[in-house]
Amino acid sequence: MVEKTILEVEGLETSYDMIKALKGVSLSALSGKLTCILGPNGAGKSTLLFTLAGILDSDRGKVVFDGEDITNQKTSNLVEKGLALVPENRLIFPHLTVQENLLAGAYTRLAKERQKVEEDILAMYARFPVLKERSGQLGGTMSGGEQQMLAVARALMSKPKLLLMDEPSVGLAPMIVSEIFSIIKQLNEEGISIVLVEQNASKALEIGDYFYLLDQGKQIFGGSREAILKENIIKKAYLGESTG
Amino acid sequence: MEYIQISIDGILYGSSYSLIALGFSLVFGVMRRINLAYGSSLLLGVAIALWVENKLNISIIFFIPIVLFFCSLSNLYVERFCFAPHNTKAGVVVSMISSFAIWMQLDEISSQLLPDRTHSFPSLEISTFEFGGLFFRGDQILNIVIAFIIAAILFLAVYKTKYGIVLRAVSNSADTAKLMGCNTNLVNSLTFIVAGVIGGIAAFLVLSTESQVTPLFGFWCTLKGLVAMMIGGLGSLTGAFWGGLLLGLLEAHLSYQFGPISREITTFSILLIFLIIRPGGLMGVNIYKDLKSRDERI
Amino acid sequence: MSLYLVTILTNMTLISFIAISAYLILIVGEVSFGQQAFFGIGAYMTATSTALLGLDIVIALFFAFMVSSSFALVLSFLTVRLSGLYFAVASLSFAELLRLSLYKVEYTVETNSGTIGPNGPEGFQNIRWIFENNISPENFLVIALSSLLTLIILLIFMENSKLFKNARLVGKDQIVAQSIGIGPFFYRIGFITLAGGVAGFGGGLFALFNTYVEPSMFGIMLGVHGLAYSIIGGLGYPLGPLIGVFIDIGLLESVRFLSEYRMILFGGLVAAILIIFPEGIISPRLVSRIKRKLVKKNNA
Repeated sequence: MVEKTILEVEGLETSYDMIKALKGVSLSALSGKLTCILGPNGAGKSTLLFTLAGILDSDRGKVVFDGEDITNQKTSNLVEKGLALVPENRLIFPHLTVQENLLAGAYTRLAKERQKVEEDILAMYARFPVLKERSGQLGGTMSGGEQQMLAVARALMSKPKLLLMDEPSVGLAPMIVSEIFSIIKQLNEEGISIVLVEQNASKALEIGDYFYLLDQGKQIFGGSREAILKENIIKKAYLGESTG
Repeated sequence: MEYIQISIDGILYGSSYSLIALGFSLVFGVMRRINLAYGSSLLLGVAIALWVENKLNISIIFFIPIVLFFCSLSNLYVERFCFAPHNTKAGVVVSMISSFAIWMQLDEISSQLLPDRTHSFPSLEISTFEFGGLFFRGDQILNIVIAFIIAAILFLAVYKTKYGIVLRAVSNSADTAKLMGCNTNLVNSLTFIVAGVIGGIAAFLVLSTESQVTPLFGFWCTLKGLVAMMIGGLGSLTGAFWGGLLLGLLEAHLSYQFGPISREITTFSILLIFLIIRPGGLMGVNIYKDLKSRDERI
Repeated sequence: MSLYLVTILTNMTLISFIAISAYLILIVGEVSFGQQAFFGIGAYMTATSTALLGLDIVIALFFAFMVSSSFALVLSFLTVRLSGLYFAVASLSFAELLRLSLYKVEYTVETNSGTIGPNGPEGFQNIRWIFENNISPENFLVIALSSLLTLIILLIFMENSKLFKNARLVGKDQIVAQSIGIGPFFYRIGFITLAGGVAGFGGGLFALFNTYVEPSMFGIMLGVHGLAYSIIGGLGYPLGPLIGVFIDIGLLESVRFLSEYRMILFGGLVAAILIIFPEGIISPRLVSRIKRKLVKKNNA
């Protein structure tokens, strides 16, 4: 079986607030796989995701998604092309009900396939029963774990080919984190390609297929789970020791 | 009987405040920003429309759409010039000040277009009628009916349709709405255009009742709309509607009691009292107690 | 110097007081749409002190400062819980209430030189201080300009004081300020009051120069201008507001073929400048960058 590349990043450089946060990052994500990007605080992980999702513009480099060059395209175009971001801290719409949050997630499809959107909402309710129970409740009144599920479901509503997830474990209790990660794994097994940015390396190691390590805006490692476990590289990166 | 008549007059007059407040509230609701040039862009729209009417000598049926068109166009100009460039969090105050500054530009262009202090404005000529000893002005009845219809349409559109969800999503968090693929730029421009149309309707109804327009109309609109919106609660559509009626009612009674100059004094006193005692307005949240909305304080 | 130039320069000097008073409030992080009213109160107060009571100009201007700052103190107490948009609108309505009340103030005295005293919508006529004391326009300009320069030099010296640094921190981030023990309450009230006094002082000079004042002079457009000057000038340095004054009056009003379109041009110019410099031309960031450079040079 030939594995298809869904996302290819080459020499990406991005500045954020006048500071160069990415200094040449290259990576590729395979279709149907779970690719994890690890690294300590301030390594540039979120900047990378923001650049991929079109929120920040890169200064240099290239992003190819599903065979098409999408460098510095607008977020709205990218969502239509099948790229969805689950932001850090969930960022659900607090004054919209759960159902309305899901509808907002299907923004790009609202005009064209309304019927289909309704069906997908029912499918989401089947997958996340807790959302069904709370469908009329305002998003802001739910617990952190429920909000994270809503954020994932909302992103899925745009029918993405690739799901970008930014720190889904932030601010959640360990029990809930395990639940969220099993949901991520399950989604991936159903065939959705995922790029996961995570600071919680041990959790990510349990479910990821491929790993990239960022440190100070540079990519310092890329490889399979076996490779990353063999080298003691994670510890080094997190402890801030020089690797070069 | 006299009190009832004054109340009726006040409420009917207040319905034009409601309409302007609805336009204000729509923009505030979606963008969490305040457009202080709103009244002036309506004045400019009216001034351009009158200028065109003078040149082409058109009938009132064509005049109305021209008013609406130019009102939304000048509103869009304000959005592009004063709001679109400042779409970050720090831009909330900058855009308010920018709209405050553009106010003088719009007012000045309007007074160059309307060189006389007062200018006649086409009137609808609907007669007054009597019911049970009380008098009702026909054009003002039309005003309140239209205000109610527009409030209802806006309310349904914002709370019951899928496009309303998009509007409210942008209002909740423009950045997150962008992640959903929403073109917030377009949403903001459309909001200003719709606010311009609503304001244009309000401007036409008010001016045709008065059958004249003065350069002070812009300030009048901004002021009354702002006060009505703040009484009702910032960003609340129903609040804006009721706020306008309440303002009209209070003004009518107080100016009957204390004379016409008190009308202006009343407006500002009501605004100040509301700001001090209940800044969230009638329908709005209490901005001190509700932490969530305190974060959104601007 | 031609009389025309003297008049322009005097106008620039007088309106600078409003611009600086708007600047002072911006430092503590609020936007005031109401400084024009304090200017008006100061004008009426000075007119009353000199024309009706025959007081000395120094005492008259001191009264103007005190009375207008007392009104500002009232505003700051009324709005103690408000900020941002709410404060801006509250200051606007407070200002308009003060101005509209002037329409109701009537106390006139007949003298040989005409009616004096506040006379409702007619305003306060015959403020004859400059004639009685034989002050030429040039001399008045010297008086006004030296007052303004004194104020600016005072402010420049105070910039480095702890008071101003704390106030700037309150304006920038209240939560951070509170977390290191700087309560915003005192600074807000202090600066709003001071700003009212500064505007009132300028208003006092204006009344003397203009020889009559009326309530309609202190309308919202005056406030728009004063605020716009300090905003485009930037919050970095007390000279910022003067840049705005210079652009509007020095450039637009004094150039004949532009003056007819002054408001149109200036309104657009403010919006355009805010797009290029959202924090004004002399922004705090620019000032700290220049300071850093100067320090480096000195060390080298």
